Amino acid sequence: MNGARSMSRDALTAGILLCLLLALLPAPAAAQDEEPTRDEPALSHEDSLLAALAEKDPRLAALKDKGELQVDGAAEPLFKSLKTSPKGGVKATVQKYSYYGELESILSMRGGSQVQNRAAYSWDDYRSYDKVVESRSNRFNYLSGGLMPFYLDVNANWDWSEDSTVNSQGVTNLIKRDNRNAGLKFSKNELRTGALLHDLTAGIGMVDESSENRGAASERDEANARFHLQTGWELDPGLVLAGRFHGEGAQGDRLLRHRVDTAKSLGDSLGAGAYYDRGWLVGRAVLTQSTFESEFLDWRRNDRGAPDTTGITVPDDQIVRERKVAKKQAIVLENEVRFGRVGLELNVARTVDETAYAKSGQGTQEKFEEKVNFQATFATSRDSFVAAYEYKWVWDDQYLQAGTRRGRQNKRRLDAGVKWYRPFFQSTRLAVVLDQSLDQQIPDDRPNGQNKDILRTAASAGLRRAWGDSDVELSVRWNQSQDLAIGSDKSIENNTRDRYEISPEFTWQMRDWVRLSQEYTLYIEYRDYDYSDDSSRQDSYDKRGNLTSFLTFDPTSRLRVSLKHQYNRFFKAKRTGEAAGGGSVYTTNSSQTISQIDFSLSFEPVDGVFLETSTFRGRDHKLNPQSGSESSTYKGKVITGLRAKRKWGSTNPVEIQASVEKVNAFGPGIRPASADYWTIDSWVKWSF
Amino acid sequence: MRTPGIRHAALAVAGMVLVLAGSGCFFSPRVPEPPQSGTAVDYLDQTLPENVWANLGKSLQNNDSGGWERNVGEEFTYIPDTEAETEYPDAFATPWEREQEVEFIRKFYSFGPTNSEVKMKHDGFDVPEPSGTTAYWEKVIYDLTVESGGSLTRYRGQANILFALDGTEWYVTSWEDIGGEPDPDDPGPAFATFGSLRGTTH
Repeated sequence: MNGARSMSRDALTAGILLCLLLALLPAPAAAQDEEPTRDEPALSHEDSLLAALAEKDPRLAALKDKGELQVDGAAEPLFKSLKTSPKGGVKATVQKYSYYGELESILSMRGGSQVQNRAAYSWDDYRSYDKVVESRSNRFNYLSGGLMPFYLDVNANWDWSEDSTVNSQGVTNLIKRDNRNAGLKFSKNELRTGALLHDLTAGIGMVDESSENRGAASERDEANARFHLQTGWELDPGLVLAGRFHGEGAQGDRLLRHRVDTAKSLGDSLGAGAYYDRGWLVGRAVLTQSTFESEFLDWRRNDRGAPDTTGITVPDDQIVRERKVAKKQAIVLENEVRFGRVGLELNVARTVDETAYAKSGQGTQEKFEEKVNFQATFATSRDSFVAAYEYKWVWDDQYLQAGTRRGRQNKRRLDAGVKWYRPFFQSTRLAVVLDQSLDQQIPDDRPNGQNKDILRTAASAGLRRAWGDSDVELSVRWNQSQDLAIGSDKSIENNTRDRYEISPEFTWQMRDWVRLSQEYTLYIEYRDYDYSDDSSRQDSYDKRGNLTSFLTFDPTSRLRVSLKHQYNRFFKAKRTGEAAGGGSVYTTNSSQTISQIDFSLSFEPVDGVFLETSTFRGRDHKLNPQSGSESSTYKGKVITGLRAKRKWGSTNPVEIQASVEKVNAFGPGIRPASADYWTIDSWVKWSF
Repeated sequence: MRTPGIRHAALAVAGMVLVLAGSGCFFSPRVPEPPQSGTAVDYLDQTLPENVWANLGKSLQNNDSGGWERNVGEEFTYIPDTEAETEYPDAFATPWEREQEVEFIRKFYSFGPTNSEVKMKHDGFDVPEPSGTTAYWEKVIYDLTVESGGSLTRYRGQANILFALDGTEWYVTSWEDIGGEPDPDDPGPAFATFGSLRGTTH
C-alpha cells in the first residue's frame, strides 16, 4: 500500500517538475499573437518601446497610430533579472523571543513571467509560559505571465513546525506538522467560439500532510485534479447569459494513529445566471447547485461532532471509515435602479444545504438561509437620506444517527434604519442616524432550543464644524436594548437597558507646532429588570465620565513631545425604593476615580535614528459610600529606547532596522515577566 | 431646477419615517412567559472581572446563551491553541470574534448538553487586580465536562484572559488558549481546550 502510494506520488511529482521545466522554456513566437491573459502587465515590453519611440518623435507616433511601427519582441531577453534577498532578525516582546531568517529569490523573465522562491525559518520561545515553536517553510511559485498562449501557475509549498508546550503538571504537549503540497493550474480566458465566450481553468496537484498530536499520528497523501469552465453569451449589449461548471476529485490514502485506508472525494458544481447592465439598471440572477462526496478515516464522533471514545477500549474501534455527502442549492437576485437623485437597491438570496454522515453521531444536518436587503437613497439640494431594511431567516435541523430528530432552531433578524445628512452652513454638517433591529431565536420542536428576542433601538445625532486644521464635534447617542427570554425558566433575567451618551470634543491647531485636543464623554445607563419585584434583581444605574486632554508639540522636524491626561469617574447605584412624589430612589454603592498622565518624547538626532521615551503614571481610587471603605492603587511604566532604520546603496541595498526598548512597570496585574524586560525588533536585509 | 414641492414632500416623507423609527414602531418582540419561581440564574454584576468570568461559568451551568453574550465584549477575540488550530483549520481560518463566539454558544447550548463540573478557574489562582480599565489574567486553568447524547467529553485548558471596562461594565475581550491540561489528581494525557469545543461546534 505504502509502496503504491509512494510511486503514485513520485510519478505526480515528476509530472509537475516536467511541466515546470516546459513552462520555463522560451515560448514559441506564436505566443506573441495571443490575446493578453488576465495577469499580463497592462503594457508589454513591445508596447512600452512603441510608446517611448512615439513620444520621442511625432513621425513615429503617426506610424504607430497607423499600425505601421513595429519592434522585435524577441529583443527582450528571456531572463531579465534575478534578485536575491536574505533577511535575518530578532524580536523580543513581553510575550516571547523570536529569531527568524528568510531567503527570497525572484527571477523576472520576459512578458511578466516570474519565478519566486521564499524559504523561511523561525524560532519562538515564550517568556511567561514554557512553550517553544520552531517553524520552517518554503514557497515556490512560477507565473507564466504573457510568455505563453495560456496562463500557467505552478506552486510547491512546504510547512514544517514543532510546537512544544509544557502544561502545569510539567508534561510536554508536542504537536508536529509536516505538510507539503504542489500543483499546477492552466487557465485561458476569453476563448471565443462563435457567439460564446469561455473562461477555462484546469489544475492538478498533490498533498502530503503528516502531523502528530498528543502521540497520535495523522497522515494524508493524495493527488487531486480540478476543472472549471465558464461560458457567457452576450444576447444584447448589456445582457449576458452565463453558465458555469466546476468539477474536482482527489484520491489517496489516510492514516490515523496506526490504521491506513484509502480516501477519496468527488465534487461538482453547476451554475447559471443572467447579468444585465443598462446604465440605470444593474443586476444579476444566479442559480447554483453543488454536491461534494468524500470518504476518509476519522475519529468516532458524537452527535455534536466531537471525537467520542467513551467506553471504547479497543484503539482501532475508535476510528471509523466515514462517508460525508454535502449538497447545496443557492439562488441570488441582485438589482440596482437609479433615477437621477433616487437610488433603489434590492438583494434577495436563498441557500439550502444538507450534510450527511454515514458514521458520525451527527447524522444529517439541514440548513436554510433566506435574506432580503433593501436600500433607498434620495438627495435634495441640501439633504440626503438613506433608508435601509434587512430581513434574514436562518434555520438548522438535524436527524441524528441514533434515529432521533434534534428539532429546528430558527433565527430571524429584522433591521430597519434611516440616515439623514444635512449641511447646516459652511463647514458644518449634521448627521442623524436611527436604527432598530429585532433578533429572534425561535425553537421549533427542539426541546433545548434557544428561545429569545433582543430588540435594539439606537438614535444618534452628530454635528461637526471644521476650520482648517481645527474642528469641533458634538455627538449625542441613545441606545436601548430589550433582552427577553421567552420561556418561563429564563425570563427572570429579562431587562431593558437605556444608555445615553453625550460626547463633545475639539481639536485646536494653536500654532503650526502646537495642537490641543480634548474629548469629554458622559455615559449614563439604566437597567430595569422586568420582574425585579419578584426576584433579587435590583434595577440600577451607572454613570461614567471620561475627560481626555491631549497636547502635542512639534517644535522642530526632529523633535516631537506629547502630553496626555485622562480623568475617568464612575458611579454605580441600585434602586432602593420609590420617592414620595413618584419615581425611583437610587443609592450609590460604589464609585471609582481613575486618573492617568502620559508623557512621550521622540527625537531624531541624525537621519533615520530616533531616541524615544515615554512614561505614564496612574491612580485608581475606589470608594464604597455605604461602608465607607476605600482603596487606592497606583501603576506606572517607563519605556526608553532607540529606533533606527537605514539603507545603504541603491542597486544592491543593505537595509537595517533596529529597535531596542527597556520597559519597567509597576502596579496591579503586573507579573515579574512584565515588570522589567527588553523589547527588540531588529533585522538586516541585503538585496543583490 | 427642482421644484420646492418635491423637496418638501421628500422632507415630509423622511420626517414621517424618522418619527416612526424613533417611536420604535418597526418591530415588536414576543411577549415572554412570567418566570417560574426558583429558576433564576444568579448572575453577578459586571462590576469586576472575576464576576464576568464567574458569569460565564453560570451561563455554562444553565445553558443560558444570554449570560454568555452579555459578558463577552463587542471587541472579543478568541486565539486558539496550536492543537485546536491544527485540528479545526476551517473554524479558525478567519479571526474568531464576537459574532463567531455568539453563534458558537447558541449552537452549543441548542444541542442540550449537560455541562457538569464547571470550574472556570483553578484552586490557588491569584486573581490580579484590574489596572485602570483593563485586567489581564495569565495562565488560568478552566475545567468543563460536557455530557451530550450519552457521551462525556472533558475540556480542561490553560488560558490568558483579557478583560476591559467598556462604558460602565467589564467584559471579556480576549481569550487566548495556551494548551490542554491533564487531570491534576490523575496526571495523564492532557484534555482538549475550549478551542476544540469551539472548533467542533463551528
